[in-house]
Amino acid sequence: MLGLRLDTQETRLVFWQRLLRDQPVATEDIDEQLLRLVRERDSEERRAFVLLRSCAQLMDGGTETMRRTLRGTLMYWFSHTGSGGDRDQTIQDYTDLLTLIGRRLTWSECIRHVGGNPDAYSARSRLVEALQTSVRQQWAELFGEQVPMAGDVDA
Amino acid sequence: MHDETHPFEESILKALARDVRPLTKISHPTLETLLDHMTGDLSPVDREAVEAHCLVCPECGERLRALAVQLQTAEAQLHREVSKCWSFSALFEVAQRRVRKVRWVQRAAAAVSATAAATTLGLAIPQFIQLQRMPIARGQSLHVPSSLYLLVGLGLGAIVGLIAVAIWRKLT
Repeated sequence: MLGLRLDTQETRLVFWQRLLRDQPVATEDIDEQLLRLVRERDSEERRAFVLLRSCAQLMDGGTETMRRTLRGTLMYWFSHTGSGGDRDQTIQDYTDLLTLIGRRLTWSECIRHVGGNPDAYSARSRLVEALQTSVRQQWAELFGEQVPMAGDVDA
Repeated sequence: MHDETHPFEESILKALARDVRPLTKISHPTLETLLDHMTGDLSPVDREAVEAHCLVCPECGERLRALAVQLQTAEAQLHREVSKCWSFSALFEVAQRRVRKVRWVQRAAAAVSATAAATTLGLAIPQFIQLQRMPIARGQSLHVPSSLYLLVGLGLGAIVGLIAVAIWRKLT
């Protein structure tokens, strides 16, 4: 062991990276490492935690199409976070967060990369709706309250 | 196209953007650990920890990128060196083939010379013995046929050729 102390943000990134690489992520593992800490934190931390947990659950129990859409969409979302990525540089590894962040990829190229149909936009809508439902349910189950955001969008 | 976001996606993007925002970290992986990460010598758990750290620590992320560039440069250099070695071995192989070819020609020349020498001398010696035994009348001189001169000449030529091939082999 290296003795690197990971905080909740870094621990979530470890799980996100596993999901991108199509590696199994058990919600029990997420709970074991994060739930106790997150209960004491603000709603932003809770939102990030519940989102991760919902994605892990969908990846574990969803259909093959749903899993593929989730992986491709996660690539798309992460590529639209942060900054500094060079859009024109060839990507060697789409599943590496260090490479993905800030690259501003299109959803079509991400979905094509995971072997999905880039024209099946309805799959993305279904995924987002499933995630929204899952986030609502899990928030209520874990924290005993409604998601503190108007229309599930903003706090 | 297809890149317009669902309202719920806005909150997802905010949450993910928050997860990749830079942090001020107190402890950092050592240079050796980063190198081990680059070369795939870390355990899966340690590799994930280093990756997560480098995602939120701009300092280590930059070090990792710089190391990746250096490693690529070193690999390219190594590749060039290996290519040179390959071309040297190819040259060596060609030279060896030429040497083998020369040796084969030398052996053939030696065999031809030896056969010619043996044949011509084999024919000349009986004729010479026969000449020696021939009675010569007083006042007459010995008549040597021109074929004997030719055979002896060819035989001597073949011996000289054999010696020349031997010297050639010695020199190469």
